[in-house]
Amino acid sequence: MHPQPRHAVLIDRLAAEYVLGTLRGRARRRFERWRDTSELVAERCTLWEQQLAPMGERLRPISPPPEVLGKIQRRLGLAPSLGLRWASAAAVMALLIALFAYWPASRAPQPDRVATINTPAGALQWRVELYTQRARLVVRSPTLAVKPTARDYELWALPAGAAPVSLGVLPVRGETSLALSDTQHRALARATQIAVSVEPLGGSPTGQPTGPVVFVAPLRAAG
Amino acid sequence: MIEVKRDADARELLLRCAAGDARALERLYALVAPLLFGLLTRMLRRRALAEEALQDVFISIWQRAGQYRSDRGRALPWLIGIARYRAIDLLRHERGAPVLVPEPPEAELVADAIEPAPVAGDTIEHCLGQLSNEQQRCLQFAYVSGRSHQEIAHLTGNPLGTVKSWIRRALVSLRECLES
Repeated sequence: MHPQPRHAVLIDRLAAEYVLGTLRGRARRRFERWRDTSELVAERCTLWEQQLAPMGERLRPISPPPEVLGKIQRRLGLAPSLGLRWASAAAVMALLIALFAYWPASRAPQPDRVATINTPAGALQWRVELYTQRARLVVRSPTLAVKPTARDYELWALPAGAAPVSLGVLPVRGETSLALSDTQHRALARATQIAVSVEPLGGSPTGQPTGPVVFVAPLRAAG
Repeated sequence: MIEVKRDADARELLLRCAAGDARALERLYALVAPLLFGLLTRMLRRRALAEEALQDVFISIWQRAGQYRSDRGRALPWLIGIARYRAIDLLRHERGAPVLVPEPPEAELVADAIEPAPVAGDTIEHCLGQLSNEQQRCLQFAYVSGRSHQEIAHLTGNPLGTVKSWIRRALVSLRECLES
């Protein structure tokens, strides 16, 4: 593509404001789609990212709370490194022994509500468990979900009479435990159904489903 | 030269993440999480939200590590881009929600801004220095604090149109300076 000079100037201006962050709203989303499909636009964005980044690199760093790395690893289904595991192994073992010895089986946390999402062929794809007390959602996927290329499955609460609220990106396989925000908690309290949509990697960029809704399942009381 | 080394390390770790090396993600986290968390906290102004965003950012980094092209530039700007775009998306959803943490006093913004500049930033430092004070402040508010045109107009007490044209002209001047 050989853009007209005026066209190139416009692209450069939009790329600069996109990277700077002042391009907002629908214009930002439209430009994002353009960047995803045009090599030239993507190139200008990369250039501005490279040129403006030193403004961010000189900011004062802040150490994140120590538990964040573990949360990331759990969400990705990655195990912490061996060093970490051995360091805490003794403590974990002692705790487990204490729990097994004294914790009555009936007090093991039970989900309040569950939803199961099956493939069209009937196989269990995801089991979603809601633990209201702990403000957690646990998603298990025993089988490898067939994921569209470069897309993620995103889970949504469908609160009665309100817009869907994102609950996060679904694991392709394994188990994910998600801490619920107040908004997600309230939405689930008012929801009788959950849904799954196909979204760009990392989830919907808009906060609302943007791709096709591929599953809807009831959220039932557990028991 | 520390910055150059940090960037080279980040690039190496990104390549290993792309190959599925979970240990590399841990090391990349140790290397850049404080930088990204500082940026996210500054942009989102709420620690809990910044923590959630940091998780999302590292999940994206892991999933998209293979898309980083070292022939297109340094790794840190790429990582910072992921963090900033996530923060801007979250700010979009937060619009209208009450801001629970007040804007940091401007003195703090200035204090942050005068941290020693990295080696790799010499050119942009020089070019930023060519801009007027107003233009520099506007770019800082937008890039580092994630502020919109309207918010910058409000914070600096200038008309919206003036702020927009300062920023537009600042970017044109930067482009000319960087290419010269």
